[in-house]
Amino acid sequence: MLFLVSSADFISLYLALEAQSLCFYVLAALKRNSEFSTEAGLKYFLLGAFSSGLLLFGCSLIYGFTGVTNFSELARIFTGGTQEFLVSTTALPACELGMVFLLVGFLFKITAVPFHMWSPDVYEGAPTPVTAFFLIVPKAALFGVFLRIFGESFYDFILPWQKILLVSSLASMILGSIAALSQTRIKRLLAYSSIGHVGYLLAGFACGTIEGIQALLIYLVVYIFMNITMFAIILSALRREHLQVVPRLKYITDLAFLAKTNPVLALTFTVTLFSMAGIPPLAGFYSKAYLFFAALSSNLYLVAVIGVLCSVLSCFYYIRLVKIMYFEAPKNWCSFSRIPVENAITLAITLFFILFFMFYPTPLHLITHKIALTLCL
Amino acid sequence: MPASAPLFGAVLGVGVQLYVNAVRKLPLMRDPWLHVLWAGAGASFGTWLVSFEERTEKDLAELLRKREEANKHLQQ
Repeated sequence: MLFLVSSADFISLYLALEAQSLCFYVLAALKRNSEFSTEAGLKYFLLGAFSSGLLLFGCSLIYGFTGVTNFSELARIFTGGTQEFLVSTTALPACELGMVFLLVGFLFKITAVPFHMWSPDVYEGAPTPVTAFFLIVPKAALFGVFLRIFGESFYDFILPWQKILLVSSLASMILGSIAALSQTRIKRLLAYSSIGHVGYLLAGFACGTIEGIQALLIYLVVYIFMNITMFAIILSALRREHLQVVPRLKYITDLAFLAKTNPVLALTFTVTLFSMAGIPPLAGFYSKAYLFFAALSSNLYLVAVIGVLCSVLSCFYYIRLVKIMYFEAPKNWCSFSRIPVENAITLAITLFFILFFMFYPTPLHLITHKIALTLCL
Repeated sequence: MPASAPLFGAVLGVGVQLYVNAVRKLPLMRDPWLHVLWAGAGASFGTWLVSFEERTEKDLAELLRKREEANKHLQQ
């Protein structure tokens, strides 16, 4: 992933992406005896290979018509004096087509609608720690390289890619909010929730401004912290039924035990859910508000309005979990075993970040502004 | 550097240990040396955060100046 973020041309980008993806296919199918895990691995492999093919086709088209694979050289070609030459030949539309293929490949990888079909099945089938990894780590790396390519090399194609990103962003927000409403398994619900969050992240990028990129980066950091908290809870809540340790939380109804057996953990879960829903004064609210302001300043009023509506809609499924925790009676009695100290420390640090970020956002603001400027300078 | 940053950091550090004990259903003041350790870690983090902020602010001002210079010919 570090190679991916620091890649400077299409060859190193593709090699890093493939090396990363191959590890992910293996990770998804880690539980060899599980039918779901094997299915997840196979599905991820087939669709991942397809998206890598699209990406490679885009790279080859661009290379074929410009003779360049380096990102900064491409930027020089598209912004420099050679544009008239490109317009007079068929090179410019072909490069634009290549850019679209590249964009589609990326949208596949970051699970944006309409290329999201694989993600709920893969995230559900993979072992829970692997799902946590898939939801958090590759997103950061992919958005990093995505910003570098489209902010640097293809900034002059902003009109076509902005339209595609806007459609994908709106569709992701809407689908993520609506599809999560009917989910009964926690991991599947989080997969759809993640699709919704990807929609918000893309909205920041679609702004095409420094504020938009800054909003995206702030949202990404907050998203990572919220998901770490969520999975630290899911991975630590081992239940005991009839003196036997049973698997971790699987269905949302399993949460009915949480408030009775561990109120502090239930409260942490509630705060995280409220933050994901965007309720003030938590970190999730701040990042969403900043993103919507960035969208408004770029005249993307529709994105801001639909974003707010989807955020309200997503409150339903997040608060439904809180309702199950506090107001539904458990079907049979059980107790939670003591959570590991590493999980408790992780929970404490991420929870404090979610709670207090809004009161002191300056360091994150400054560093994200710096990153955004570095990308756009 | 204001003294409030390490102080807040220390308070948050103690808060982390209190939370860890609470979520593990242990007495809040169990292993008091850990509270001291976390207070120290929190204070160092607070100090580092303030210095990081100052450093980033300077870098950012420099970047903004460079950007303005680079875009000067567009404004004319």
